[in-house]
Amino acid sequence: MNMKTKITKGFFSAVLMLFTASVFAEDAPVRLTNAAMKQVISINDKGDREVSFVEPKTVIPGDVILYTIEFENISDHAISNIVLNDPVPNNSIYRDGSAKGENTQVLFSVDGEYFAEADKLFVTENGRQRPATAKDYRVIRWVVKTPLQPGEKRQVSFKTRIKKPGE
Amino acid sequence: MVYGAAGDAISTRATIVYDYQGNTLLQESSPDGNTTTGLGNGADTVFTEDALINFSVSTQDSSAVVVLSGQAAVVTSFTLRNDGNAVQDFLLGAFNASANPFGAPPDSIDTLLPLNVFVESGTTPGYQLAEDTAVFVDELMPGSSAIVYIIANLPAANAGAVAAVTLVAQVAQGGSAGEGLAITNDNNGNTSPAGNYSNGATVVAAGTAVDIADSAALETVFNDPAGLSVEDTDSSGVVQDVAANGQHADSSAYEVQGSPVSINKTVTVIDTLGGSDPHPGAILRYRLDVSVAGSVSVNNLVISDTIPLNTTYVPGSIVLNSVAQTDAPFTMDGVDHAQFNGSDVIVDLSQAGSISVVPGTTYTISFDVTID
Repeated sequence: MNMKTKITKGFFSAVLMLFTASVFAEDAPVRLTNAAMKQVISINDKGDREVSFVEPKTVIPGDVILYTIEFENISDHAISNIVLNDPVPNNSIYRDGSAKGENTQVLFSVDGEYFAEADKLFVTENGRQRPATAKDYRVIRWVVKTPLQPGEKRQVSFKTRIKKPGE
Repeated sequence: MVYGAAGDAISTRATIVYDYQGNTLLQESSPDGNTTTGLGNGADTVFTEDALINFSVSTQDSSAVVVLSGQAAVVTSFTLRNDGNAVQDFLLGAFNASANPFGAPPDSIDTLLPLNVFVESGTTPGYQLAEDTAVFVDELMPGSSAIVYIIANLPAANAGAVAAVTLVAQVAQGGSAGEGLAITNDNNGNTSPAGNYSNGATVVAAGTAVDIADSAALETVFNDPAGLSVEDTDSSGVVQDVAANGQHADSSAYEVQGSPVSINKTVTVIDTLGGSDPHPGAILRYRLDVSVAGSVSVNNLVISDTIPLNTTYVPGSIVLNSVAQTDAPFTMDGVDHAQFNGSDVIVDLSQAGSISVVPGTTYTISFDVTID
């Protein structure tokens, strides 16, 4: 079975297939952490812009949130063919160009099923097809190109902006 | 789509799929690090969207509203827009102490009474006494606007007098029909000044500062912008519209125009010999050119002209816009607007008040007298 083909065909079919493959919860060889932080831009004593990240305790429309997804190999064996998915949260718009991840290929989906590079996605609006924009993305996918060795820790990230009225 | 995001939990959960020792495994994320495979064993990364209170008042008038001295029920118009993320009510107050937002001439009338606020609430655009009776904005959706009018009666004033007016909006609790309680503080130490709203029916005390530590729970955040208008004149005199106090304001103005009616009177002498020598027996033909300028219609426009001494009115000589008039009292038939009452030529251009004379209208009246 070619797992990669399956995944690129459809996230949900892959999930279903895997669900049947591993019904029972078991200790995983990976620790997967997803952290949300609010971006704060301030002006320091020298008058320079400083960007910092704080716990998202006070969040209002227009705020920028940084999501960092960390995956750590806590086993004694290599892990390969890694694919990460994260849905763009509710009330949020993906910030164009913000998805990062070393040694990964970043793909997007506007329907949660078909994934492609940003410039190869289209949406149909009022019967007409147009290129998808960051506002249309519903799921972000990172296809990790190299295996994760025992003890190795990597991360991918993306940013969102909390929607304003009318968005 | 109804947008009211305040209090929403914003959540996401990542999924990882990988090959490990010949098995393909699926695993979900958690905020603290999930180490159990399988669907449903992770946890959402989640926080609460706080209540943003942000709104603005802006006048729709691009210049002072032109009014007449003593004119009743003059209207200035404003737009109130909810830029926050929750449905809100807005209390409304008007006052008359600001400067002319359109510059010159300076504000000179601070005694407008009554000075009322009404919300556009009917189906007909523009202020209507019968339709637009709401005195507060009820349940304004995020991203939506309401139209608000200030209605005032002008006192008698000279041309060029200006009455600047300010509309103040104070945020109040939304979520149910009816006038919500004013929200006079947020959770970051910001407060609203006191105010008088709903045409005097609602008096709101200044808020008390509450500053709680930022938490994952729902907080209220005042983020309304600062403005150029004064916002509060209750206690400490005129206070500029400050940011983040749950209020926003903008100003407009009424400007009294001079008389919109102009009358130009000329006389032509028609002597008995066909010349222009004003000897006894010659006819004087008076011509009145009446025009209405400006932007306001004129009601009850009646022109009177007394026959000069030592002359005698020529019966049946009144002509209005080339239509001969009778000397008898007005018949209000749409044709005969003039009469001669023995001493004065009287022309009722409003036909006993039944028509308004719109700006741009001109009338030509003529009548003859003979020199005694």
